[in-house]
Amino acid sequence: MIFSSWPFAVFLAVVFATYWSLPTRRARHAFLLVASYGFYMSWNPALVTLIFGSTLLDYFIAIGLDRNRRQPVRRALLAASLIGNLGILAIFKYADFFVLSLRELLQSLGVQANLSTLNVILPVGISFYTFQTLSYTIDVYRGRIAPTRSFLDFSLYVAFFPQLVAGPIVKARDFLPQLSTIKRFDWARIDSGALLFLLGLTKKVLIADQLATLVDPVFAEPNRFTTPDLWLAMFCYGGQIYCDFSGYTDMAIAVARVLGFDLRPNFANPYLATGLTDFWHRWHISLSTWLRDYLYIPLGGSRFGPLITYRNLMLVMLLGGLWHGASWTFVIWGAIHGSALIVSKAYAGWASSSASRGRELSTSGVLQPKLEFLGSKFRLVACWACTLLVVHVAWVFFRCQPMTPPGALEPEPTAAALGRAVYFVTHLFVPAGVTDPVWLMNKLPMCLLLALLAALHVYEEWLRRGRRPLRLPAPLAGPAYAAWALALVLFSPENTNPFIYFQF
Amino acid sequence: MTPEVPPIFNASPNVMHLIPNAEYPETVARASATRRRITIVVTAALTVVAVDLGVHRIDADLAAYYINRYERKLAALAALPQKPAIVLMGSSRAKYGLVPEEFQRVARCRAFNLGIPAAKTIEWRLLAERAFADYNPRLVVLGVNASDVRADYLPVPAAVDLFDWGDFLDYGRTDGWSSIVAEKFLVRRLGGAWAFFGRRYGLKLFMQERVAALFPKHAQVARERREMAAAPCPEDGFEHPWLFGRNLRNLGLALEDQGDRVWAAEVPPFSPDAGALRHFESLLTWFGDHDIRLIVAYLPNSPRTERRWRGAEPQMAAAIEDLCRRYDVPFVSARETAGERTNYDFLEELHAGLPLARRISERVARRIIDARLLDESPSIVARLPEDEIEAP
Repeated sequence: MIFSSWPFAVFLAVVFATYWSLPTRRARHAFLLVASYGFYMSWNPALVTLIFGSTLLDYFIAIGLDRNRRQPVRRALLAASLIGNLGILAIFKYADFFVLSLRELLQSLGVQANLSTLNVILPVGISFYTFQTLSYTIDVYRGRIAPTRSFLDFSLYVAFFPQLVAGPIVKARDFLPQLSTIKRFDWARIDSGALLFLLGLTKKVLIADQLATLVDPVFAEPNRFTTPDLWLAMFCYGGQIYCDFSGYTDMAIAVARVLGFDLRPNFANPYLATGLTDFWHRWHISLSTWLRDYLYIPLGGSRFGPLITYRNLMLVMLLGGLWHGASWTFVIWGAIHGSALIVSKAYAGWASSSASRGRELSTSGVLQPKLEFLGSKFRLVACWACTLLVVHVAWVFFRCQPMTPPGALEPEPTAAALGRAVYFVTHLFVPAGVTDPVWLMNKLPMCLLLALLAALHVYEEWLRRGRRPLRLPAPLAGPAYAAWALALVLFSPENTNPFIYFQF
Repeated sequence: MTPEVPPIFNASPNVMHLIPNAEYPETVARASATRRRITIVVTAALTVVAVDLGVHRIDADLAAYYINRYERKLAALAALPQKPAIVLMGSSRAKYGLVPEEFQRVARCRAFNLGIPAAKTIEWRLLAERAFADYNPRLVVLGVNASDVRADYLPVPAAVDLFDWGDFLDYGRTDGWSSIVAEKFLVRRLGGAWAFFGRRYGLKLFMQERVAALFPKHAQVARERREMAAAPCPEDGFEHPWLFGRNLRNLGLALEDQGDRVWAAEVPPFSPDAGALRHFESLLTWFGDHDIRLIVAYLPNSPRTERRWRGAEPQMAAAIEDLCRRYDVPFVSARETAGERTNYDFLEELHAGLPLARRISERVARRIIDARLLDESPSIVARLPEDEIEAP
């Protein structure tokens, strides 16, 4: 059941009406839990047992952690949670990937190994709910939160349907307190939730899905397209993945909101970032903060000198890449981000040491201090452009996944996908093909969609800086909203496209 | 008073700011907010109604972009002054692979191609019920292939174009409830009441054609679609693209150029309990009950597909043949219909090129003559006056 489909609209209407008509907090939570399991079972009924298993494991381990004060026992309990959760993730998400990789490696060495894959179905959202339950257990272990005694509340925290399949990754300390009070129906929340849902749907249907139809052929066979096509497709994919994922997040936050729950934001205009660090403060915020809190800082963060910091950065980004999917191209995507973060950190270190020797240090971005010979606005634009370029080149590797050839049971070797990505990136700079004189005219829809995305980004940023939002008079607002909704109906594709992040 | 926007923890601040009137009740007088909400809802509803009335006014223009493949062929068949003695049915393989002209030449009686892309066993039965409501042809040639009885088939075309409420409920009862089929059926049925929604596809194309200066390619697509919808169905129902000079490249040439990158059809999953096989059986029963003589011809795949499907296709073809034998329906195997063939004989993986289609049709027609299937009168003769049916 996809958020942008009719069955979900019916499901949400039923859940909304029933939820608010139930008199007690427990009844509402029990109903939401049943609805969440039902929502998940619409993909694959059997796989709900994994969520339930993970819930059981972490519920009891957290209680065990609370009751035991002996450190070895607590460590053993934490290890059990890590092994249980990451074990499930390893089997369902990574086992086949490692078997195929090993087979490819052995074949390249001339060894014919008869290694068979498990061929298990990848459970939707497994990476999201695994990280969520892990964060709960680790927080209890660290003493940051007290474990909940209510199995119902904990189950709902794990399975809450708006964010179950593609996040945002909710922390227990943000969500569980919200379950302790009964919600009051509030029209203002319904208003803003409905509009936020409409905005998310617009990003998904009007921008992401439209861009997908233009982008997919270019990434499938980049060698059939010219250099300007490749540039445009690269930026269009950046737009597609942002609108797809942030559209989903907006809808998830909106659905939670109309049910009386608050989820943290996951995006903050990432393509306006003026540095890689800035980008990761704006893109998939719930994942980047998870990685920071539960991986980067435990590894030592930036406390042990530059080399350890660089190692930690690279490790976190590689694992972040692997978290997205079982493919080496995701690892390379992580490596590009890791390398770029290291370069910008190193540059910042060098710049601050120069500044300490008496040079002026700019306060607005890691790459800026050494560019003071340029005007401050130009410097900002240069940093923004560099960040945008690095992020989008990395998206090429993210997008070029091994495809399953027609009729084949297993995906093509990673080398084929990598070959496409390398060809793509190389020919961004080495001219390929002859450009049609009316090229731009034929690409006008792509350009308009990108312009719409850019306008949305700029407007959102403008508002973030405290400007007053556009407020139409009510008699004009009604027709404007109606036209907005009708445009969505008009341009929605015949078949619902799944969200990109559902596969992670 | 300027409403104060409280610190927002619960939703992206940028997003919340984007939304006009997203302030909180404590910052805006409740009564004023309620008035505004009512005004917005009422004006939005009026706008939707006004747009819907506008769409109604141009309904005829919008209808020009729709092709109901089922209605188009059924209407062409119904409009024939002399009903064909032989009707050729099946999916797109039959649409391209069974040439009425060859049947007419060999069997010397009128033939009509009722093959419809994407139709499979359940659609065939619903189509037969409509096509043969008023008359019985002397013979129906059903072109089948393994993919027509694939285990994972969902009758989406039927849900969109053929099901009435009874069919929909019957399907749910016999095959289980599918959310995809239910969604397609309900959206089609209930969405029709809302003109903007029901005609959204036509409206989009209508608008595309009017912005040709900005979007020439999109305008061209819309124009082609309108022209295609307006094109009359040929008298014998046969529309092979090579007859019209379209898609002239064949699979062999495509493979020479692009190798493994050429599109390949997915291997159909097989199950002896597949719903599609059950519906095939009920189709055979239906023809038997209505005393319409039937012959089933297996329409072969290209050699490339046959190689890839070798794990599934023989079992599926055997299952079809077995059912035909049980119902005493003559079956013409792939070996008999097509004989030797190469990838150059096919449009792409699945559909026969015109020369191969003629060969297949001739062989099936000869088999019909050899088996004297047209000689014996069916027990129920045509319900239309005899002069409307061409004698063999």
